[in-house]
Amino acid sequence: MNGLSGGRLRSYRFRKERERNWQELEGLVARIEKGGVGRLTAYELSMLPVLYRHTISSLSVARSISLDRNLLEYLETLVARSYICVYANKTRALEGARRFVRQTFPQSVRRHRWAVLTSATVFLIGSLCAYVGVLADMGRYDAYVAPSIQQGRGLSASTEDLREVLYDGRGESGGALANFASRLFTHNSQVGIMSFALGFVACIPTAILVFKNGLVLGAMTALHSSHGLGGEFLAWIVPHGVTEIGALCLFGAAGFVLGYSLLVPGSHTRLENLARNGRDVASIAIGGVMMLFLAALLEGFFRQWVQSVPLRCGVAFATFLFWAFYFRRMGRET
Amino acid sequence: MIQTAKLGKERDRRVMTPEGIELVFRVASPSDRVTAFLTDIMVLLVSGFIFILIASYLISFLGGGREVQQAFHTFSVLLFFFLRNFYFILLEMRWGGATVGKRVVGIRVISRDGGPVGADAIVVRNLMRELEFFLPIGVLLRGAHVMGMTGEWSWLIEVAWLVVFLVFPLLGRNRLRCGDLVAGTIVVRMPRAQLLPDLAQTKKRTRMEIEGRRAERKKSRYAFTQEQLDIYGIRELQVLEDLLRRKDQLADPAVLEAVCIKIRRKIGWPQADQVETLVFLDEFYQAQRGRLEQRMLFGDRRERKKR
Repeated sequence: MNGLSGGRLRSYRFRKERERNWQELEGLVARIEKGGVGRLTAYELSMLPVLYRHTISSLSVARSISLDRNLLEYLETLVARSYICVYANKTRALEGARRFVRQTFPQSVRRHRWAVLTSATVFLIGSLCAYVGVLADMGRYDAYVAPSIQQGRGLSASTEDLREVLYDGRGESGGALANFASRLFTHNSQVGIMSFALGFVACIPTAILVFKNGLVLGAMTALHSSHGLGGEFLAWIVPHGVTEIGALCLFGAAGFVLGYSLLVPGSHTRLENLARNGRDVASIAIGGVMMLFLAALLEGFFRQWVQSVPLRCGVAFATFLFWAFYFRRMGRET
Repeated sequence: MIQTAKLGKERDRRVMTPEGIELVFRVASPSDRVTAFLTDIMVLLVSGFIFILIASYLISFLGGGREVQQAFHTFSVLLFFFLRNFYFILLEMRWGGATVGKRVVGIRVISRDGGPVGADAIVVRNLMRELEFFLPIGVLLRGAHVMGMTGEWSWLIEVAWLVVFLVFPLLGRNRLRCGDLVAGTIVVRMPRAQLLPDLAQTKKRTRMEIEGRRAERKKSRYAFTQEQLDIYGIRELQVLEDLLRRKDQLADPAVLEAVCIKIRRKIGWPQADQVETLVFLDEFYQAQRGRLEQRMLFGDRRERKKR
């Protein structure tokens, strides 16, 4: 080799020795980008991290010995592309779901139990206020419960009308009930997700939403008890209410965590803290959607089929025990 | 200092990978983001539309009884709920941080702290769309009110709300929307670059050409002294690399000639000496790179030429 040909350049030899590995990695990455990790054979999959590490070390060597700009840019982008592939989310749906139900969700709720407690308190205060307020002056009912969601249970409704709502649906077909349940589920979930997302705006809108939900419950209870139907109304609402109200409080709690981590960042920066807690409460929101799905099944089917007050109360108590056990015990490391 | 990280540009973002190497990503521009999002919305609308077509055909085929209609209605309520809330989540989880729109545009979601993008991050960044997009769009299309506010001045609050969340991503230099803030993610362009042949490598030639080339080389080798190679720096070297790589597409081949003359003047090459432009530039590039790389190895990075 003569003095000035490529062979003398250290960076040239460096490239010659490693080029093949880079190209192999590039081929794998291109295929992953096209159709996901599933496209690779087991062998190729096992080679991916090896080639990735190799290319990373090539990049750091190249940064210190090579001045070939094209080579550096190529390595930078190749590493970046493979970084995206290697560190992309790889949760398997089924496995992920099982771990979510068994661990992530209840653990996350326990971690944020103070937020859950706050949210539940806001809800309770809301319903107590409405209960006391409506009993003192029935005229307030319309202000607490928007006419669009009264469904015939307005101030002018007679005791008979109210009773009929509590015990209707006996003759409905399964199709109609499923329809009803699906609408309940989607509507409630959308409200829940909204009250979670609104927590971003410094907790306040979330608090208002949770409080308003409480108002509706309190006002309706007051209306029914003024007709002497208070107990039966509670028996009507609690079988699904335990789950549904629980879920809505969880959404609210998740929203509170968001807002709180923005307002009171502690030893982190606000952004870091928000990101940390935001990812943590994502599981609460998803778990809330699942709970609402169960609640809609209870509300859509069970409540229509079962008219007996003791049975309704029994189911309500059972769901309460179930959730209490689930959130206190599930996923603990013992 | 890292070689290619020219962070003068605002929209580059450094990410430290778990392996401890720093990568530079180009932050996706707002127009990329909007295009990707609109594409996704189109996909959603079209798939919903196709579903309705198929369903109405099926209903008329099945006779359209009350039960059938109810089943269809139930199914469509659930379907649209899942499309609205889980389309983005499921796709980003399956396709490594890209939806249909993001793939078309060539952008990806990655984690700001360099770690893997978890399912939780994907979920939360997409649930925030409820706040940023579906709430305002509901206000615009259906005349609904933000949080049921009704009152003379509520429209003002609503408009303020819309504006705040629309311009939010434009405020920061990382173009984060609220969902990205909360999830700790960032949307970047998929990097693309091709490995071109090393300029220090002689191209593949036929035997005849090699023979000829050898003879030619012997004849026209230019030897540079160390003083001549200590004049230029890395920047100039890479400009020359660029020029040499583009030499076949140059609009005006005289540029090479001009550059050659300039270099010769600068390094004090005898002006009277007739040189073959391309060969001279090639060899100068190699010699210069060798010299600069050698100095770099000894910890002496020479960024620019001496004034």
